[in-house]
Amino acid sequence: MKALIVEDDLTVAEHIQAGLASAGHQCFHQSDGQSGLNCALDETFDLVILDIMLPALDGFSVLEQLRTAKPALPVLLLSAKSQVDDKVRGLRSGANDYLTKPFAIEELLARAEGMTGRATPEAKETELSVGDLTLDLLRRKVTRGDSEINLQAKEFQLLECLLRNRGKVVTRSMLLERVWNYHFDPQTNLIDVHISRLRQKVDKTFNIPLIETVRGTGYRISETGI
Amino acid sequence: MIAIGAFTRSSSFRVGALFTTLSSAGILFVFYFWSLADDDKLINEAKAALSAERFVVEELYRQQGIIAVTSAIQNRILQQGNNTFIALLDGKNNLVAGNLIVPPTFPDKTFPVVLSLPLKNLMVKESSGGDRQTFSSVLLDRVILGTHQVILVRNVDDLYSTQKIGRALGWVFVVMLAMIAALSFGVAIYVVNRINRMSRTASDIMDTGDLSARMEIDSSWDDLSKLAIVFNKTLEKIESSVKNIKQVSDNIAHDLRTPLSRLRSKLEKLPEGELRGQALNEADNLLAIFNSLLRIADVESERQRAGFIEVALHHVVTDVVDLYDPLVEDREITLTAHIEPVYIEGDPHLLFQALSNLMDNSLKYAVGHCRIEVVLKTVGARIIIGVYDSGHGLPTSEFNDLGRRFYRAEQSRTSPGNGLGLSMVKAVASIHYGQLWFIDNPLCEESGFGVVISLPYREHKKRAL
Repeated sequence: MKALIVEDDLTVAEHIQAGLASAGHQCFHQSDGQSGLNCALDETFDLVILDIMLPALDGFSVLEQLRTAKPALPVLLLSAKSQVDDKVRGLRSGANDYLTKPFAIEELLARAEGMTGRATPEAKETELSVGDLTLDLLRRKVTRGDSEINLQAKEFQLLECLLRNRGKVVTRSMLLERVWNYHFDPQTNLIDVHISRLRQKVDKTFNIPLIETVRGTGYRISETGI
Repeated sequence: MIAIGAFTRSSSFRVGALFTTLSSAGILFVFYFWSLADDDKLINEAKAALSAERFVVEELYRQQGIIAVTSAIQNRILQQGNNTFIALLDGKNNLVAGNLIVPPTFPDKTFPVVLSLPLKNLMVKESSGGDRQTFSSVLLDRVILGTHQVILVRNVDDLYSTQKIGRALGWVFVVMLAMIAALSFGVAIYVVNRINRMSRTASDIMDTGDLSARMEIDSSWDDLSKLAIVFNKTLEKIESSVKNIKQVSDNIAHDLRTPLSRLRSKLEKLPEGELRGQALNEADNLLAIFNSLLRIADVESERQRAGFIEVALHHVVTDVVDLYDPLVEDREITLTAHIEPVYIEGDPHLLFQALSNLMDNSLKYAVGHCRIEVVLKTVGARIIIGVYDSGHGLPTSEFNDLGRRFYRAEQSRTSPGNGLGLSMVKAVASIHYGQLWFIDNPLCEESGFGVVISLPYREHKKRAL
């Protein structure tokens, strides 16, 4: 993956760069809005990581101009502001995801990788599967091997979210945002409890566990051994 | 909020009313005395004095004859002041003695009589000089002494003029009083309207937190306008200070969180180990506290009201209950929910956060086999969101401090948490124009604790359209 980081704080930029590089991604950095925009327009990137508070041109304006020129380019907004309306404004003006500083580098990585993966036309998919687990989006049925698994609505959505990012890490806050549609931070291990319920049904009676806990970050569904 | 409901309760009206009442009382008092004067008491006194004189003249004539009367009159005019005049006339109306030069022609009346103006032919010879005086009203008596007659005249001008001036002034007073009453009434209405408009602006600012609102200033001559001007200047100052503070806190957010996350990322680079995990946990806690603090400050700044939308509150509450259901079950706690459909204008994420904080609290302090009840209902014009538990509860003496930042109840100091949960709930309640109440043992068990978010039912525009 080739990513452009537009961030005026050099330490943060270095931090992100190091993180992305260690995961095997290629990174470019610009430290103000105008040169960031120029760079994004001139070259081809798989992802733009864009700070909101920027010198020369703020993140929202960069995003606006970028959207008209390159509507398909995934953009991840970064902000030191925690205001929900900033978040809403960012997502409305076309950002694909939003992350509030400070963040764990794993969170950024998970989101960045999730975003670039989504570039494939997933909307047409009616069936998601990993290993012998299949989730039928039309009939809303989940089967593993020959047996059908009964899932509650939220469990189904959880599994769907994991499967859409199969092989990639999905963080707890990503799950909260995508399954429950609320931006908030729970003080308890809520998500873990929900995942463990899902595991009970999906993994427990089978020999090979598919849902894997990634320490300190989140969860990943994949065929073990791949 | 209207400061003065009825204008009769305003101080300006009361002052006006008091002034009018006192002036009326004063005028009535004066009128009373004038009415005494009007009863001719003073005139009667003058008449009595005149009849005493008449008696003297008659007695003198009876005992000593006309010569004695003549000399007595001549003596008297030398001593008399210029209010009493006397004339002795013979049978042909010629002046024998006295200071009346031209005796008046008498109307055919009984004596004594008050003659009012103008008496042009009443000429008076001054004792000192020879000046002639005219009077507008005199008291007059005629004493017949055989062929002669004595004319006794007393000037009562003074008595009458006092009355006339008094009466004229009295009417002036009455008219002025009526004008003052009308004026103070008008001023009271004006002042009350102004004050009410000012207080409406002030309470609007209080309710909406919109510091950019100003009082309208339509004139600048009165004290109220000056007060409004000062108030507006104060608002301007406050607004700019708040903006500054906001700016500073934004900068702090930007400047402090970044090094904190740098610290965290450096810790991540340490080799795996117990110490690294602990350090990372500490850093995460620190960041969490910092984030919560900033988030609360952000909610309290009420900027987020701009993003309010119509929220199906029952969906939010149901979502919270669903989200917590597995966790509750794991801990063998019974969770019941009574949810009525309610729509409000608000921020669903903040409401969700607030409810989740309340659930976290209840779960934290609820021991096994407890009950937790979540209630959403409308009571009159208020929306009640309640989270009740039958945990070990809290002493009511601590209720006042619960909404304070970093406050932790005595029993909970050992459990994890940073004392910001309820502050967040309080901020969310107040941004939705609501309040936070704490209830001791709401489920009527052995002990328990309940939190109620009470929101006003506000008509919102979007649904009306």
